[in-house]
Amino acid sequence: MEVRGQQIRKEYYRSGTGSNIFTAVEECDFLVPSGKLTVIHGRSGSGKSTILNMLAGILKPTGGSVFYDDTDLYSMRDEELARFRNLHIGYVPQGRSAVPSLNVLENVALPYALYEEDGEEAAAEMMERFGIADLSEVMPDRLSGGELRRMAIARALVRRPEVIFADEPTGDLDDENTVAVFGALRELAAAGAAVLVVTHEEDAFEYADHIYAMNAGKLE
Amino acid sequence: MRIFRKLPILNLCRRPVRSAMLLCIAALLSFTVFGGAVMVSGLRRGMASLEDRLGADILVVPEEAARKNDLESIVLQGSTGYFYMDDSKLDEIAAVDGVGQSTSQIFLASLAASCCSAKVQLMGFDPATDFTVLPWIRKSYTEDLKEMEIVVGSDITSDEGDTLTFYDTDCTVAAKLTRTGTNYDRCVFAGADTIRVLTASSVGKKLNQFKEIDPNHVVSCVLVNVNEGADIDQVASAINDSVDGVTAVRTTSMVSGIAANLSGISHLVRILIAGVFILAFIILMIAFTMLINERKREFAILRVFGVSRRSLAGSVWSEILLICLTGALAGSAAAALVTLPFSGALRSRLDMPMLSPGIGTILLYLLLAVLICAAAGTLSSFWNVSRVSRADISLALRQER
Repeated sequence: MEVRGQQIRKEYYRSGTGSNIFTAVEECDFLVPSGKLTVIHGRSGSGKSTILNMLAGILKPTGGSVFYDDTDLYSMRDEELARFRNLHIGYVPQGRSAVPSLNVLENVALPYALYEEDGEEAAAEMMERFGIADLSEVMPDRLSGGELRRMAIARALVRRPEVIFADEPTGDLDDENTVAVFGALRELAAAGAAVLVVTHEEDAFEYADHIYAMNAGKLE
Repeated sequence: MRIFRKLPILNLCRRPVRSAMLLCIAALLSFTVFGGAVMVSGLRRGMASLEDRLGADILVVPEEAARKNDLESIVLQGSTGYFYMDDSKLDEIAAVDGVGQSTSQIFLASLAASCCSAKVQLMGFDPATDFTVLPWIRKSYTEDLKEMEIVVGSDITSDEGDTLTFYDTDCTVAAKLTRTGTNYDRCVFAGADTIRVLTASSVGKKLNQFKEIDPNHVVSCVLVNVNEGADIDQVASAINDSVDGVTAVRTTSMVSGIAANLSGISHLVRILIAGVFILAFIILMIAFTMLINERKREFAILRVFGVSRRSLAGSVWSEILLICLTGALAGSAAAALVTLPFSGALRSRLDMPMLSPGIGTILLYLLLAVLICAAAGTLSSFWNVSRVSRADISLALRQER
């Protein structure tokens, strides 16, 4: 499944500025091909997370459309879009993203559990892969930053989604885990997934098939 | 895994202190609603019971007694106290124009001393002419009362066949009356002959406040029903004019004082419920705003992984309703524990008749308390739940990383 952003742009209303309109992402076309790992890099505030969120179906563009193959993402009703995200998209948010009242296993199995499907086996396998298998019953407030990040990545990949978005996925990780994460993303891309990573770390470039830069809302 | 369904309970358990505080607010609201409703209902039933018990249009008492005593409490509610007038007044009153039925009663209060089993109000009636006490006693005891037989109110801890002693004179309990919610529940009733024996005994032992009376020729009050078509006020006025040394009072005017008190208490309870509702509403609104603000990121994560707006709103509503309903049940249970077993103490404290409502009414008030708590929770969080379900996911994800 490939993801296409067609003439997408994002503007925010912001009082106190000259025109009261702040352009986070200028109009652009963007393709996340299946079977490839695409990287966007840029400085903080350059608009790279905004473009990722528009493509991931959690931020409606001010203009333009996002297609997953032939499916227009933002033409769907909320329930349909929610289920679509659940089935087809893996998302690694920036920063801490655990659901605090669930233990690590429940957090990783969350994409299955939300629709009352049994995902314990898949979750256990993914936790094994990212070295957090022994933390199944531990609550998130007992985890280190690195463990939380690995848990978030395991959760994003647990359904083996066709499209994966990762916003600074290796921010809290040491070199060993950074290699493991990019290795896993690379593997998923090789297996046919469309992977988009937003990062400011140049280490990611060596795993990328395509590299884009964002600068002040412009895709270069 | 049914995690999403369990999420509201898990969230409440994870923050026990916060959950307990929210629960206490809901409990306070339901305590006020349920307790207040049960109390007012009890007072209303007590009042109705009192009106049932009245059965006379006019009460005639000695002039001096009307000045010195709280007649309302003694005659209508059975508080302890006694006074006397010559029994010839009964014939004089019966001869007044417009008087239909008339009957006398004789009162005596026992003492909290070794001569008596308990301090109670003793009320004697004339079985031949009585039309106020006897119809009520007949509901519990259909036989004629023999000499030295008594009938006791529901609060007196004696049963049929027991012996109670007043002024060292033994009486046999013939029956126990049904509950009225008034001080009559702590009264002892007997035929006039029995009460005269006890009064004579109290005089003989110099334990009666009235040392010079002849127990065989006194009565405490005369109860009158006017003839059909006669004006009650005019008949009362005629009695006052034509019979020396007595005061005739329209009984409904005595009850109206209690009714006014009841109305005042009902009004106060309504204000209290409204005040607590507003207070609970404000506190719950602030608490839910804080609770939802601090969990914006968690809600955004759930949305990212496939929870729809409607499901998210439903989950948050479940959590809020769970708090409110648990609190409502706890508060109502606490109110029931306070108001129902201690209705006697409340009755004494308020000095008003009170009769606990039936189980159907109690369940209705429980439902009312639960609904009001649910309404307070729903209304106070409506804006917040709407806000959380419509929140921009990407903005929420950026907050407090």
